[in-house]
Amino acid sequence: MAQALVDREEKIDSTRSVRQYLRHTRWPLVALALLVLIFIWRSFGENSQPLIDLVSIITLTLSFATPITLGALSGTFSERSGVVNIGIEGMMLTGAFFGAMVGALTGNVWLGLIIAPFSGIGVALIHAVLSIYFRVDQIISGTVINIFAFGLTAYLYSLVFTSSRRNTDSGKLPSIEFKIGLAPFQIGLVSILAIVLIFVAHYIIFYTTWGLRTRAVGENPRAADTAGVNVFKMRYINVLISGFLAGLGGTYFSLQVVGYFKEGMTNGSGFIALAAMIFGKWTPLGAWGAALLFGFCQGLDSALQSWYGQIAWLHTITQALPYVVTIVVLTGFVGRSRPPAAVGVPYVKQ
Amino acid sequence: MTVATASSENPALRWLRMAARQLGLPLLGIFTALVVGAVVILISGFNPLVAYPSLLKGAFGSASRVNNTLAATTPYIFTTLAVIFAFQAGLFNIGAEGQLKIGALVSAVVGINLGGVPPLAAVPIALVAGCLGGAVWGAIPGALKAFAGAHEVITTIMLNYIASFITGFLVGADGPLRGKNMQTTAPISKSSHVPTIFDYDSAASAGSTNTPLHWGFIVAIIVAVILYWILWKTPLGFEIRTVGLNPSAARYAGINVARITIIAMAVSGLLAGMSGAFEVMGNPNYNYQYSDSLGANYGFNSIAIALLAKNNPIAAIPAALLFAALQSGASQMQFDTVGANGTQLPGDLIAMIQALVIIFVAADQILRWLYRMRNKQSAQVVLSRGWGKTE
Repeated sequence: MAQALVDREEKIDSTRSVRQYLRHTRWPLVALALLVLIFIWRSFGENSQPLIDLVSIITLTLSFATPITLGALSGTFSERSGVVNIGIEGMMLTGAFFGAMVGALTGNVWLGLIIAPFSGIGVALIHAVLSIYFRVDQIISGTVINIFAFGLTAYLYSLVFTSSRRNTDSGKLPSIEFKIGLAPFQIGLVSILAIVLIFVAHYIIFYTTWGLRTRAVGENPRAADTAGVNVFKMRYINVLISGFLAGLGGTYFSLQVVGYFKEGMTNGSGFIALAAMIFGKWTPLGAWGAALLFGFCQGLDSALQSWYGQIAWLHTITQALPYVVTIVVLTGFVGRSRPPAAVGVPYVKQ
Repeated sequence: MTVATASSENPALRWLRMAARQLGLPLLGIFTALVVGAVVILISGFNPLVAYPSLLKGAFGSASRVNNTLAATTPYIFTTLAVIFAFQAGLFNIGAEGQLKIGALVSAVVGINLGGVPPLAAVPIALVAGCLGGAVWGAIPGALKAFAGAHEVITTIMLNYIASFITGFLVGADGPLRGKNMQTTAPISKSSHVPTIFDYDSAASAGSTNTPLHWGFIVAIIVAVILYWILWKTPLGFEIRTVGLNPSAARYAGINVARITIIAMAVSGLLAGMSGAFEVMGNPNYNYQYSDSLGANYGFNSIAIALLAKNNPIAAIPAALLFAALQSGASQMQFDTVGANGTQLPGDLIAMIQALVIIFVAADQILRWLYRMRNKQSAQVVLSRGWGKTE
């Protein structure tokens, strides 16, 4: 069994570099072509400012892609180890709330940034115990997590802020701003962290013993167990990592963008992140590409509004676009993807 | 041996024992959730002995309050039945919210144009239209699952957002279906109003915010019984439950899994659409018109209620009543429960208690572990089977 696993890993390793090469040269080309098209499109008409428009859409894309990237990374760690995590949305919401609460109560936004991922871990621990120890169906457990997180954050928000009329302003995390020519470019701290974490995650999952074991546990837990890997430990820790990343992703909404918490402010990003993870074939770099696509859809919505004013039907279409793309991705029209073999199956030690 | 003892037992006694076993864990779950809730209330600096009685008083304290609670129960019964029906086929329909909205909007559009039709025809026509709207919206994720393998959990959530964008546009500022006010359509014709069974307030005093109980409540109970009959007494129900327990075995047995998947999701959407249609046609709080605030959070709440009802259509009725009671009692609880420094206990506590109830009921392994009960493995519908198309 163990030998089979090693063989399998080697096969994956040798084919991976080729596939990745193909994938990573194709998508940047598509993206580049898209940006050139936008540049040409925005060059026509009076008062055209193609460079400013182009940079603004890149700025928007990177911003909107951030929570989806972190959510997809979160899902990647959890699912690679064999645990479906549909509770990303709830973990993000919890992170958003605790980040904002700590920021507002202490007046220190940095403390909020530090606490938020750990609140995500707290919620992830519930998911881990439910799905690994109690072997509750992982979809049900994740759904329960989402309902619980919504209730918890709403209750704590009323308790801490509404009834005492406390200041809800948590302050905002800094972002880097500079000008490319005349065009202002902006990228938030959480967005930068997300990009760094993509490469860290890629390294961990594909180039470390930890990553190999995580993947083994997600593909064939029995074989991994036989080879001496502690399946339960691997799954617990990976689900907690998942919670950490989702909690960090939540800070984008509260600490990065607006500087306060609002009920249900994650608005389905956790589910879009799951689709990005699937689209990205359970790899961090692929997830990033998918997240950028979803971010671009949302960015286009904002950009079109600022270019042409509010056109209701157009706004509706661009608003719905990421959600439609998510469904299309799942139907497999955009390339098949193979989930980790043991995902969703509770492990029972013999 | 076991067969012999079971059959020699008094059937009434056996039924009672079975009912107790079925009811025991959910009741224990509710109890445990309330205990944990009491601890939360205490930690928050309030008195649970004030909070819980006033919660009860708010939900059932007077005839008018019972009236309100029952009226709030009605839409939940329908959406919960929607979740349960899909669940029996192994499908997790989180899309009740979107299906409800589409159903409500379709029935409103049809109801607006039924001015000259007598009520006896107008009410069924508008109702059926709403059901069909919901059924179509529900069949989409069913077809996506059946033909492309797209997991319904994600597609139904996505379709919720898409539905709300579409309805938001249609009744928005320049929307083609917008009535006098934004976010609503024009009112439906008088002939398509669902009559009221009981209106405590119009008997007592006029001009209050009470919700009259309309005939949808009775229909909901009848539908629950019909669904129970379909699921457990007809070949279709057998096929649906077989697909839910083991789709590969079902396929091997000659059941058309794709067909069952689409039917189950369409019926599920139909029930959610019926919920929306009845709210538009029977609930005066929405002024007999489609309102875009309809159905908010119904998706996840009805999942919760379905888990509490252990996916039994009949049990959906008391489970929906519990959730509606918690919600309609919340404001009284908030009003009555005052802390040391004059602050009120946030009504959002209810959302927490609801979540705790579901945690304990959905994951009854926790209860068995908490109360040192024997672990019993029963047939379970498996939902997590990967996300998308796998060859």
